[in-house]
Amino acid sequence: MLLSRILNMRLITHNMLTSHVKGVTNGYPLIIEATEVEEKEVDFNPEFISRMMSRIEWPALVKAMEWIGKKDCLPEEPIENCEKDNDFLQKAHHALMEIEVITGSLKCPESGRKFPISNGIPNMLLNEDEV
Amino acid sequence: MSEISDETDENILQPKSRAGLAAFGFVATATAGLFIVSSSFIAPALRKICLPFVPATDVQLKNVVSALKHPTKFGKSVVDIGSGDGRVVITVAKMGFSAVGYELNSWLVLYSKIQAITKGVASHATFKRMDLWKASYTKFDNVVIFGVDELMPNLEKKLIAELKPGSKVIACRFPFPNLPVTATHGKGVDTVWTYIV
Repeated sequence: MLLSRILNMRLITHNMLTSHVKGVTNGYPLIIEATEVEEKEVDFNPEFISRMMSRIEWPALVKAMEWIGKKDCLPEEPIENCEKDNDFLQKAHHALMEIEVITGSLKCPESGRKFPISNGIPNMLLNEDEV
Repeated sequence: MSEISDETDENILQPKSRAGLAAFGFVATATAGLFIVSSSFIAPALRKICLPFVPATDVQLKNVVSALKHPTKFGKSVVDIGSGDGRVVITVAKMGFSAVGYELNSWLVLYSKIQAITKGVASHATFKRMDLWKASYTKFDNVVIFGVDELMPNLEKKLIAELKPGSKVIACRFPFPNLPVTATHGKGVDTVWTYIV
C-alpha cells in the first residue's frame, strides 16, 4: 500500500511541523485539538534525546502537552546541559516519543485551516490552491 | 647471397613488428584506461563504510518524488548524498528544486554533469566531488540518502546536528536507527522513509 501521509502524530513530529498554507507567515506551532490520545512505550535512548534537545522548541512542546491535557508531566523550562539529568531526559522522552494523538486535528494558528487526524494519521495534504 | 636474404628478412620483419608494437600499445592503453576508471568504482570497498554505486530503481525514484511532495513540497533545495549517475538530482531539479549531488567518484560526477546539460537542468542541478562526511548540510531544506546499513547511525547524528529544524530527510532502502519516521512511501526494498528532523 502506498502511504503518502504522516505515519503517526507523536509530539516530536508535531514539534517540527509548520503550516505551509499559502500566505501564512507564522504557521507554528500547529494547535492540537485531540479527542483521543494514546501512550505507547518506546525504547529510551538518552543519547538521542539529549541530542534532539537542541532542536526541540520547548515552549511549543509545553503548549502541546497542555493541549492534550498533560500539562504537569513536563517542566516549564528545559534544563541546561541535561545530558546527565536522566530524570529530565526520561520526562522529555515520554513527552516526545511515547504520546500519540489518535483522533483530532491540527489547526494552523494563522489561517485556521484544520488538518484532520484519524487512526493516528494526520492528513497534511494541502489542496492545489493552498500551496 | 646471404646479404640479400638478410635484407629481405629484415623487410619481412618490419611491418610485423610495427603492427605488433601498435597492438601492444593499444592493449596497454586500454588496460591502463580500464584500470584508472574501474578503480574509482572499486575504491568504495576499500573505505571504512562501503557505499557502492547502486543506482536507484525507477520505483525508488518515484517514491522519492512522492516523499518530497507530501505532506507538502517543502523548501527550495535538495542534496543527494552519494548522487551516483545523477538521476535523483536531475529528477528533483525537474520538479523545480535547486538540487546538488555529492559524489566521490570523479567519472560519475563528470557523467552526471553531462547528463544535466543534455536534460536541460544544468542551471539548477549541480554536482560536486565531495566526501559526505566532510560536507556541511546546513543550507539544505531536503536531504536524500540511498545509503547502506552501517552508514545510517553516524549520518543520523551528523544530520541532526547540522540541519535546520523542520528540514526533511528522505532515506531509501535503509532507515535511520533512532529518528521517528514521519511517513513512508512504497514497500519492500523500494521503501522510502521521510523524517522531519
